[in-house]
Amino acid sequence: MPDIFVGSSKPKETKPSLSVGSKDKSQKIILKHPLGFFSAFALNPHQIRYEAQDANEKIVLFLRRHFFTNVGWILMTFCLILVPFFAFSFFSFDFVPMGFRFMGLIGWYLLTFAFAFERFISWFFNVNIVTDQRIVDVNFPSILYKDISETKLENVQDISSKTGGFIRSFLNYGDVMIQTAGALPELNFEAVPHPDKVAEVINDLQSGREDYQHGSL
Amino acid sequence: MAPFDQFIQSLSLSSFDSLVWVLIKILAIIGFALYLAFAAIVIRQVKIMSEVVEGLFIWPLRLMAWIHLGVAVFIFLLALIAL
Repeated sequence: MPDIFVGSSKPKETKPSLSVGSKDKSQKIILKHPLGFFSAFALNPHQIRYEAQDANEKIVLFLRRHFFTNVGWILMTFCLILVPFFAFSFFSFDFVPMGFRFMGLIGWYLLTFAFAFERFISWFFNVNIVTDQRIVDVNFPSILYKDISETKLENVQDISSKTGGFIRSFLNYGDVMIQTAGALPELNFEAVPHPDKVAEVINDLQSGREDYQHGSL
Repeated sequence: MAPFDQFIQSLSLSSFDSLVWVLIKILAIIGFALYLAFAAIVIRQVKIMSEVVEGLFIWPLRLMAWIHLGVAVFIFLLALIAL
């Protein structure tokens, strides 16, 4: 007689966890997040190299600010694109010679493009990198300044993550603050995706550094 | 007519007007020249930035920066002609 209440024999699929902090090391799974053009979070990105990276050093995390942080300047750019339409609708520029009007319009759109492009490359190249030996914060505060801060993992004293506000909680991004014992008192990863996971990965790297170097993590 | 009267007459509204537009033209051309310098700096900056982290997918940005410089050169020349 067949059993009626028999569950499906299909094994239940287990969703791999992002966590590398599980106690049982055999179950630790390192997911490979492919690094795309707009990626803000990539775990073990093999295709990239940091300029001061040692031969035996491996990049574990690659981070940027969450893409949502770009929404402000994108909206601003759309507003700037629309400004001439409104300006020509509401004001008369008949007193301005045609050549000046034309070049003024072109100049406006050039500046709008420059604004958007500068903001985009600023987002694109402001990155945070965690390797198995150090933590690097690459900042380009403006197009003419370059500021690279880095600290060795053994200098890390305390790591905390912060996610506040509706959008940040909803999209799961926030800040990671790393206190160090080195010359640089604190490293901040601003508005990075999965801040709790980032803190966890850094903690794991710091506590089990030897294991990580031997590839058992 | 006394020289002073001639000078006052030369400062009529139309000549003042054209003087203003010449001034604006010079400022506009200086502005476009500065923009040209900015476009060149952007190319250099994209190169420097891309050297910090190698392997990023950056050719669209490089292409965009070069197109931007090309457009800036074209517009600078256009400003010399059109203004």
